[in-house]
Amino acid sequence: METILKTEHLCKYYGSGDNQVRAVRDANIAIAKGEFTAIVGKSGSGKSTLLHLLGGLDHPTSGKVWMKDKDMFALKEEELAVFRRRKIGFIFQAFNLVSSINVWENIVLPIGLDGKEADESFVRDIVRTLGIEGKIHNLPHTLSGGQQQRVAIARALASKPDVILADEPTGNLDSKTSDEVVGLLKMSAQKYGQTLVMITHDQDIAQIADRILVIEDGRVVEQG
Amino acid sequence: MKHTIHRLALSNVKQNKSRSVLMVLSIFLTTLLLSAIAGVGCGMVRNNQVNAGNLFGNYVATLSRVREEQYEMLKLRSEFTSVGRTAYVAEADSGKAGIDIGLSFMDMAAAENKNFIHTLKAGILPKAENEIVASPEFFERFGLLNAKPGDRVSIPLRKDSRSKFAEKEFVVSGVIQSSQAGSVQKAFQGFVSQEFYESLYSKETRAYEVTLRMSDALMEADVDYEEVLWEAAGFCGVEKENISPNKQYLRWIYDPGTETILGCILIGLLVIIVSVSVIYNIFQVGMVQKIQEYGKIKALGATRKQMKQLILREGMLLAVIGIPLGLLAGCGVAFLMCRELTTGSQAVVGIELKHVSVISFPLLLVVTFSAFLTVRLALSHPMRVAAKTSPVEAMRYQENTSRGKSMRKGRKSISVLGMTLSNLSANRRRTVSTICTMGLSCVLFVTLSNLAGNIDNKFEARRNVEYGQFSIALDYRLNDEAYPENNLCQIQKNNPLGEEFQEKIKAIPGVTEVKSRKCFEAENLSLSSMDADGAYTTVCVLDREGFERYGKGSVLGTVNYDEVAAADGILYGYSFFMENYDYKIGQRLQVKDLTGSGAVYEGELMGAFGSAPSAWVITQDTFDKLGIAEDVTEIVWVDCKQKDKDSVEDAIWELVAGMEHVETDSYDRALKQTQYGSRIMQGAAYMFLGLLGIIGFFNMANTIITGAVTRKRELGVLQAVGMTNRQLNWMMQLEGIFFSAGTIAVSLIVGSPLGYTLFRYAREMHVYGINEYHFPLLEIGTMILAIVLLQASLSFLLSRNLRKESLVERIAYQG
Repeated sequence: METILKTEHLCKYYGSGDNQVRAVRDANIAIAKGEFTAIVGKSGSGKSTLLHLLGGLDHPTSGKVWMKDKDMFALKEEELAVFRRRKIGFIFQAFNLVSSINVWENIVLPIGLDGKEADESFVRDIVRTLGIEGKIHNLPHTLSGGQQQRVAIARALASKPDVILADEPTGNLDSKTSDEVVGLLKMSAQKYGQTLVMITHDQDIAQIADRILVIEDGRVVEQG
Repeated sequence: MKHTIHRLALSNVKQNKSRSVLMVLSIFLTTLLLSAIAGVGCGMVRNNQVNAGNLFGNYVATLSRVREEQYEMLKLRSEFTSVGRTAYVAEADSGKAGIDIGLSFMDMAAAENKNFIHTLKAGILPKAENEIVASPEFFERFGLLNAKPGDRVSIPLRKDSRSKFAEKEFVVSGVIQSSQAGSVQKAFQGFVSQEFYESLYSKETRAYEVTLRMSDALMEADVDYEEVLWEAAGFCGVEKENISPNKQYLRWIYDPGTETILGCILIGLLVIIVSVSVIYNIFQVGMVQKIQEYGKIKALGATRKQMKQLILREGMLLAVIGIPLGLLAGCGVAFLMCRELTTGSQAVVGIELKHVSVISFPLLLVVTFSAFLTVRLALSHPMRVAAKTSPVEAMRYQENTSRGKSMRKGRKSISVLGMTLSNLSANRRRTVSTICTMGLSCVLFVTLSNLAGNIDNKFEARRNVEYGQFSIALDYRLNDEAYPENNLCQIQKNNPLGEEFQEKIKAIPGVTEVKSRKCFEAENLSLSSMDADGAYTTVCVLDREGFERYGKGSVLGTVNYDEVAAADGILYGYSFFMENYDYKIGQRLQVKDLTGSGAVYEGELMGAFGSAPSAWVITQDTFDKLGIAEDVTEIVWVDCKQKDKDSVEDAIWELVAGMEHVETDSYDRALKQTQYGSRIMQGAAYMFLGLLGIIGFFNMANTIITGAVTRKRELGVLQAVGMTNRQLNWMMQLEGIFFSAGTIAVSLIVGSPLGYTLFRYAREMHVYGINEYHFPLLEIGTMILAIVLLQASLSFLLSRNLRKESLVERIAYQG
């Protein structure tokens, strides 16, 4: 299968000397197109850092991240921002919706930032799939946690990115809602043919994934 | 707990650095403005009081024709002090027609009253019978060059026109400063001793001009000084018509500067209102972050009073930094402004004026109190909010972000502009209050620039020299019984500005045009004899062009030349004062010409000019019917080409050098003087407005900064989902542009009509240089440019500053 996301000797260190923290150490991973990968690890193991590096939000100390055949960190800052909004969809633990605009506007935001018109029927389909069609005019603060995360998933899907990176998307949700949200996430990634990389500390949720990577003290290993 | 509250307040202040800095700066500028206004006001009032004597003489009245025994009685009166006397002694033979030289006697008290003593540059006042004091020019007339005390000079003199000139040798006891008129002086005065005066005049024939001051007790008491004067002088046998109060001196010395003080209070209140709104807004904008923390503190057991204390302490901690610095800077500004004003007045009046202190400790206390009060008022609402909010509500507090609003219609797609507008509309109250408070300071700017920007120096200079380049006018008095030869009617009996003179002017090479205007002295018979002040007046004769010229502006009734000429009507010169003098349109007036025939003119008061050359105006047609044979030319204007100005001026000077009762002026000098005056006024006005504008700008800066800091995470997320740096910068700029545009719109929509109204009022009141209205494009353009530049740099710096933190850090930011 075609590899869509690849890292080469990826390292991210903070501080120096005795205080140096090696958040990610020599990570070499390859994620195939359409694959649902879960990255699991304990708190402080470096999983969020790895995801930030994969998404181009943070710069590595050394090593490379390739998206298809593009070396992400060879791009200039402005190019990287454009690259991000076209190729990557983000889902954060804290939902991170923009409070002053409504649900629909939040969903089409990355498309708008790219100066393009949203494919309305496609977005409506996503909204329907995620069960938030009755909420599109609502402001984010009027929604429940689960609903807000569905909006975040819709936002990640709307720009038809190559990869969706989800950072503990269920971290702020109760277990019932968590299951629902992960189910929806997997279902929509499959429906729209997208590659999904999800970080979680919850082994049960990780089980839904096609593949599980474990991160421990910054080292990434494939789970048995 | 008190210490805890103090420590908490201190840490809040430290944590919220940008807000604290902006608040300190706002408080500093507010105090600076308040103390500068108080200092300048105090300086002006003190200057009036201290320099009134220097400008108009240190006496309350001049009593003429005072006999020796009356003088003795006046000296004994407890109401008066410094009773000084001056007397005419003799006429000296100048040896040249048109040059008058007189000798007078002036005692020490009179010399002090009239500031004569300060003009003595060498020696002392004459004491011995043969001593004399005069200017170097006086002595030069009698062949004594570079006179100094001890020199001897022989002067031919006579007591009156019945006597013959006889030489008398004097010893120079002192020399006074040269007159500014210098080489063109036409009258000279020497001062001799009391002994010499008394040797010529027997006790019965002595008559003095007495100047006197009121006793300190009376000056301080709230008494009607004129009443006291009439009564006490009358008791000594001085007749009322021989008493002329030194009105200008009295006005300056008696008036505690009510108008100045009121003006300062009004401007000060304006500053306080603007500052309260700005400081409130700066504090309030950051409440969303703080209120949750206040909730936690309350949950931990702080009482309502302690919560109020916490907010108050935060404000006061900043006030104790800003206020002392503001006081210092304000005093400095006031000092510089007053020094400039005094130096400017000095240049205009040509007398050395005392510099006064602008610092008054009671006033500084008032300013300090006002500045603290400003901060206290600004904090009232935040204090109430913090005290009222329950801990649970506080945790949920969302500023005014769509509280109660759950839906937004929105758009199908969203752009950077859409994001900006959605943010501004979500924080509508904050947006509106920022625009309004910033707009308020700009409204003031626009309003006042309508006035300051419309000061027309050329127009003001033309009030002094109406036509051409030079004016030559009669220098006269009205109804001067002591020196009737100085009265206009007397001067015009042999008018130095008559036709012969005008022909000579026309003959000067380079002169292109000579114009003149008639004006004669008259007695207003319609007034009761009691109202002597207004009875002797001047009537000016205007032709059609003059009517058109003066007919602009605030006129009353009709000022149409044909109508007034047909009815042989009369117009009042100053519409604004018409009511004060109880004149009514339609009333009939009787005016008696005092120049020649004594003809009595009777006419209807048909209207009033805004500001005419004299109290009364008639048409040329009506004047022709009066049959006044004398040449009543009062002023002559001379025009010439630019290149001939110097030579024409020299020629005019030469021509008028030997003439009495004539004064000249030039348009260039008048223009220079008005430019100087308006520069000071405009400079002060713009400095005041500029500082107020900066206070307003701090408010916008705070709103933008707080907006960016509170949305740091949201902005980070926007960048994570693909907003480029350029787009972020553009969004910040757009927000700023919206504030700027709103501010400019508010200031123009509200300020322009206000400014125009103020302009019209100022024109009615004949405020300095206010003539034709033009939109103050330059001033408002500068204001807009300043706002846009400040806002653009602020937004740019802010978006750059935001980017200093990594995206990951920003996304993880917890507010």
